[in-house]
Amino acid sequence: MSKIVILLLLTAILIALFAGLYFLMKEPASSKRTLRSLMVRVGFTFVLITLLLVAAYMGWIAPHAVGK
Amino acid sequence: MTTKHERYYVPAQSYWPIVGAVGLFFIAIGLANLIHVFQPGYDTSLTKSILLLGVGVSVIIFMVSGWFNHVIKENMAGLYSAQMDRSFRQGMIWFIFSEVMFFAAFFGALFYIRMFALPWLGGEGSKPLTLDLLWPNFVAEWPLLNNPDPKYASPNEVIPWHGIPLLNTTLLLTSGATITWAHWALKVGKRLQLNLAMFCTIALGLTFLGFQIYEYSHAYMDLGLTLDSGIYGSTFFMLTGFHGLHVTLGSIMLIVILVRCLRGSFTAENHFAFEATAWYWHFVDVVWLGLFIFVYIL
Repeated sequence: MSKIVILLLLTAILIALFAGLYFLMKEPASSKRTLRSLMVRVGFTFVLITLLLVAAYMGWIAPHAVGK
Repeated sequence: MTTKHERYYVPAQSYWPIVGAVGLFFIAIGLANLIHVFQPGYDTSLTKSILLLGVGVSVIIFMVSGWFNHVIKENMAGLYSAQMDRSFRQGMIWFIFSEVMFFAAFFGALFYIRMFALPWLGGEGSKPLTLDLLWPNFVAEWPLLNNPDPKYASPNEVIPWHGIPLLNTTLLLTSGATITWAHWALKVGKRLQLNLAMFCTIALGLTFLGFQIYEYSHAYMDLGLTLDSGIYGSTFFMLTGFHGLHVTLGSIMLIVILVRCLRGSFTAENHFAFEATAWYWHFVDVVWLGLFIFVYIL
C-alpha cells in the first residue's frame, strides 16, 4: 500500500514538474503558472519525503540497506 | 502592398561547440584513466589522470561561461526578437527531451536488472536451468552483495539510506524550496530576496556535491563498493555519478544566473534564462528523488 502511495506521489510530482515546463514553453514571461506548478512540485516532494520517513520508521516499508 | 517582417538576428559562427567537444574529450580520457589507476595490470598515473580530468572540467567551465557571456551580451544589446525567444524555448525543450531519455535509459537498466535479469539468474520463472547450468549457488537478492562470478569482487556493504543520502535529499529538497522563493521574489520584484534565495540555492547545491564526493570516497575506501564491484556498484555509480554531473552543471548555471540577478539583468517580464535554469534545477531535484527511492530505499 505504502509503495503505491509513493508511486502515486512520484507521478504527481512528475506531472507538476512537466506542467511547469509546458507553461514555461507556452505562456508569456509575465505568467505565474510555471511558478505555481513548481510550487506544487515542491509541496508534493515534501509530502513524499515525509511519507518515506514515516513509512520507514513505522516499518511499512523495509529500506534494503538498513542494518547492513 | 508591402508586408513588414520581424527582424531575425542570425549570430556569427560560434567556436564554443568545438571548445566544448575538446573539454568533453579531456574529461572522458581523464575519467577512463582514473578508473584504471587502482586496477591491477594497468600502469596509470593518478596525478596525470586528475590533471587530464582537471583540464577537461576547466575547459567545460570556460566554455559554459564564455558561451553564456556571448548570449547574454547579444540579449543585452537588444539583438533578439520574439522569433529568437521561440528558438530558445525550442532549444530548451529538446535539451530536456535528451535529458529525460538519458535518465530513462539508466533507470530502465536498473529496473530491468532488478525485475528480470537477477531473478532469471536466480532460476525464477521459466529459467531454473539458467541457475543450474550457470551459477548453481547464486542467490538473487538486491542489493547484490554476492556476485555470481567470484572473479568479480563483491562489495562488503552498501550505503545505508538514512545517512548521507537522506541528508543530501534534504539539502536538494531545501534547494528546490529556495529556488522557488527566488522565482517568486523575481516575479514580485523583491531583488534582495531574489539574490539571497539564489545564494542559498547555490550553497545547498555545492554542499550536496561535497557530501557526494565524501560518500564516493567512503564507498571506495571502506565499503569495497566500486564501479566494478558487480551490477549494484555499476548502476549505483552510473546513476548517482551522472546525476552529480547534472548538479555540477546546474550549479554553474545558477552561479551565472546569480551574477545576472546581482547586475539586475532580469525583470518580471523578461527572465527566460532564469526560469529555464530554475526549471532545470527542479528537474535535477526530481531525478534525485527517483534515485533516493529506487537506488537507496526500495
